[in-house]
Amino acid sequence: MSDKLKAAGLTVAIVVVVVGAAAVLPMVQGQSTGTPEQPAELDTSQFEPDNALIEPGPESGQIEMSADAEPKTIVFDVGHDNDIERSEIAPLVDTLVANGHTVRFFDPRADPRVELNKSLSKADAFVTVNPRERFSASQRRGLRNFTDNGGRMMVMMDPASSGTSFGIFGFGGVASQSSSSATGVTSEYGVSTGTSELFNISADGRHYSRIATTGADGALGEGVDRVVMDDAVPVAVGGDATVAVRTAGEVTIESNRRSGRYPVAATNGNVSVVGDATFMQPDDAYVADNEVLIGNVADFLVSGEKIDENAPVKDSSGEGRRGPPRR
Amino acid sequence: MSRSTTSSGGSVYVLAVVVGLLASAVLAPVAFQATQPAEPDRVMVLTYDGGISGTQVDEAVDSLREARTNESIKGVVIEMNSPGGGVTASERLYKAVKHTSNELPVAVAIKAQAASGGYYGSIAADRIFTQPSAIVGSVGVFTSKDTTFPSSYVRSSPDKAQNRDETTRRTVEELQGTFVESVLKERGPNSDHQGTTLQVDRSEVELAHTYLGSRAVQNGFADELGGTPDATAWVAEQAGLDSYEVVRKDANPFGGFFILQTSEGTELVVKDDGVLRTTQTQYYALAPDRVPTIVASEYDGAGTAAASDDSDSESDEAAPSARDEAPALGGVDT
Repeated sequence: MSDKLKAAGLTVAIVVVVVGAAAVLPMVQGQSTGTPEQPAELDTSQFEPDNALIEPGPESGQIEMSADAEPKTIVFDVGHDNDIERSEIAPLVDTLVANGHTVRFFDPRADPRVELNKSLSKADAFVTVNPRERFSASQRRGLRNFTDNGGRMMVMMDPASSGTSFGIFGFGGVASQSSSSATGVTSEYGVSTGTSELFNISADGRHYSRIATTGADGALGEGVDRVVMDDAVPVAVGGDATVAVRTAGEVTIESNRRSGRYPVAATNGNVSVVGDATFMQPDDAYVADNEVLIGNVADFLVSGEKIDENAPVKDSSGEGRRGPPRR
Repeated sequence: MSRSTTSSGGSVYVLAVVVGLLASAVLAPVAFQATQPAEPDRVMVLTYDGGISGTQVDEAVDSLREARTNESIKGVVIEMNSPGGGVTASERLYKAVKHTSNELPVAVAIKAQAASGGYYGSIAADRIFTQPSAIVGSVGVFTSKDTTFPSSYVRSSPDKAQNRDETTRRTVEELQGTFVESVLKERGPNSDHQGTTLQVDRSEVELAHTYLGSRAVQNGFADELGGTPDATAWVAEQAGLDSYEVVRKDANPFGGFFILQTSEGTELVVKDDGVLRTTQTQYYALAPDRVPTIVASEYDGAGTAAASDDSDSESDEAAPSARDEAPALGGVDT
């Protein structure tokens, strides 16, 4: 009988020990960690290459001049703190030179005795890109005389930079001063350039400031179906001036958010004004029909006929030595 | 007589052991289960305060993974206070939030700003709560233009370490495209979003405006006005919780984007453990106008890689504002 009691006691003891250990074990063991999870299957198809990537457009074509003109002399302005690099006008300069014309640079920094009007009197065309200094009264008179006598003038402006450095976070609002500098010259011909860039927010993968333009009237816009401009301003056209290039579709002015189709280039006789200089740059020169427009610009510059070879006549008020910049 | 008693006693013991083991086998698992500590239901509140860089996102991604794998966590609230940061890091945060919201209710409570990358990290949530004057939006990217490769080096090709402007522009356009697509996919009119969907069209989103919280709620960039308590209560309701605990996680104890102003100009830097480092990112989904500025002349140790020991006071002043919300959250069962 006592054996049976002992056996029963043994059974109970075993159960108590084993079950007790099982009960205590979790407290000793601690929390179990989560199981490793499988990678997610998310719908993020917007990142797939077919959906995300933008293919660059083709770059092809040649810059050609069609004007059958005798060799002319073209003066490029670097004397008004022009915001342009030599490399940026290379395609135009190279085309002119390749076609037998002479290119000079008006640079008073190299020789302070150099006067604009004297340089013009030996030239057939004058090009100024993004001048940041104003032209003096004497220079403006000289240019008027020059163009009245058959000399050709091309003014190009874009709002790109005013030359002030804000670092990479220019949130003070970089107002361009360059446009106002040339308006003193261009307004006499019925054209003025705006100060705020044109943009086009759209879904076709094009950068917002890169707009499409198309030729309108006149020799400058001939054969220009589509030119791409990266930093264009609208050009106001009045008087005898005609629109040569305008935006291909609706674009928006950055400052006041007004939308419309705006002129970006205009011609008045011997003077042409273009509200963009980026279309000429090597990176963009062969995109779309840009090379056609560059060729038209080159043709325009060499197609004038100076009546008075020495125009502009030297100013009687005496331009004298170049003084400090006047604003 | 005694011999037979012994042998029958032996077999009784054997029987006892067998019975005992069998009984244990049945009862032990019951005891084991019964003494597992009871896990309360939990809502994780993950605070994201500062710029979005790789290391900061790592912590947030880890916390979100824990939320998904820990069975006691039934929902997530992300307290967002970020002006954004690197594009790649922002995409990672977006995907982590999206993965989590596929499995748990996720709400975002915008404290002061969810701009650019901060907004990217918020769009995949099931609901966005915002303070009325918080800044929301800025769906766009930027990058610095390449500087010219120094001529004192010889490189193997013209494109080594230097991109054409055109390539940079295209990349910016591509990154903007995926950002905008993500916003539309999560909150657009054709999305699955249950709250307020976007009331503006794609071109408006592409303009990268920022909106005050009140405006964001109106145009669908956010869902409703509210703070962390509202978001937590909403998540608990979605998860069907009557009572729950709140688990607080902080995604970025150190670090943040700052604009460093020196006499030579401005630069974007990341403050990591009290030291300012040049950021590795090239493309930013960042609203720099929302980023604090450190003036180098007033900052000791600016620009150095060595640890700076007296930077803490400056870092407290320059750091984005700390939590404003009082942590009175949730209902705990008594």
